[in-house]
Amino acid sequence: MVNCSTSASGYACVDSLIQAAGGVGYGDEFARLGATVFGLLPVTGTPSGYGFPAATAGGYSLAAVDLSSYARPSTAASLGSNFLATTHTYQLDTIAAGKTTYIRTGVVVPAGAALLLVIR
Amino acid sequence: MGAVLQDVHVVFLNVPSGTNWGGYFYSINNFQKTYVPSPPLSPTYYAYSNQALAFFINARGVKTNRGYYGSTLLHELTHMVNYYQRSLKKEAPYDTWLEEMSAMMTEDVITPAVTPDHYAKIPDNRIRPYVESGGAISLINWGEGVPSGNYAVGGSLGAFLDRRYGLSI
Repeated sequence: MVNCSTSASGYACVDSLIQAAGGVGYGDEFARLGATVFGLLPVTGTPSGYGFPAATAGGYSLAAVDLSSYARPSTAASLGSNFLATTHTYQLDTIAAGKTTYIRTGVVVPAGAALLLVIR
Repeated sequence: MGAVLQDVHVVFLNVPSGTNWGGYFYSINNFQKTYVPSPPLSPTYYAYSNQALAFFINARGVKTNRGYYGSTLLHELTHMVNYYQRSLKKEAPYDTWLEEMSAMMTEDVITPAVTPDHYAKIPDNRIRPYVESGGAISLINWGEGVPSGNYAVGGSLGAFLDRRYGLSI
């Protein structure tokens, strides 16, 4: 990180490091983080690339973090009048037991934003 | 700063109860008192420098939670390293959000390995508060939201990237 270009923004710095490490980029990782955090993803059964699994980093052991017992507000915090870059929000829909189909219409995704769907 | 090895000073301050900071690094202390900076800084800007590579820790807090404040030491040490590597050597400091995220990535990776009780600050002090915040905090616009919320999302992203890419980031 310290070797990032002196003319690059912090965003461009991290974006380039993610790409050099084989990832898509900052936006993709930030979207995955949002699905992980506000989807309360557990360690077990979570698809690769999501969640906080145990890992190693340069010989250090990183513990897993299981979010399934964490408490998230049922309604996301207000975005105010602007949906600024690198911001997460979410909406929860509950599907009644026994239903096999669910349709939601009128979903608008702002330009430059990513929508990820977590089904639990 | 001369081109010689210098001691790093960890200063434990006996602060009043209720002090709301855990530790800090202040770059002014890296300069001699007599150093005269370029405008717009005042010619006496460095007059109160401690003239030492130093960071400061809340001693009252250390007495009650060594793991947490051990993590704070590593956080402030990262700021000291960043200041030398980026601000002094390259004259290009990080954006605030990246400066703080990098310090929290150090806490995530190193703190459990070097504290006697394998303390992990990130889950309960960064990720959990971010979950409970309900989002709506712009990480790169540090300061637009509640400061603790900025730390929460920054620490969460740092820990996420640590597990995805290790020390490559």
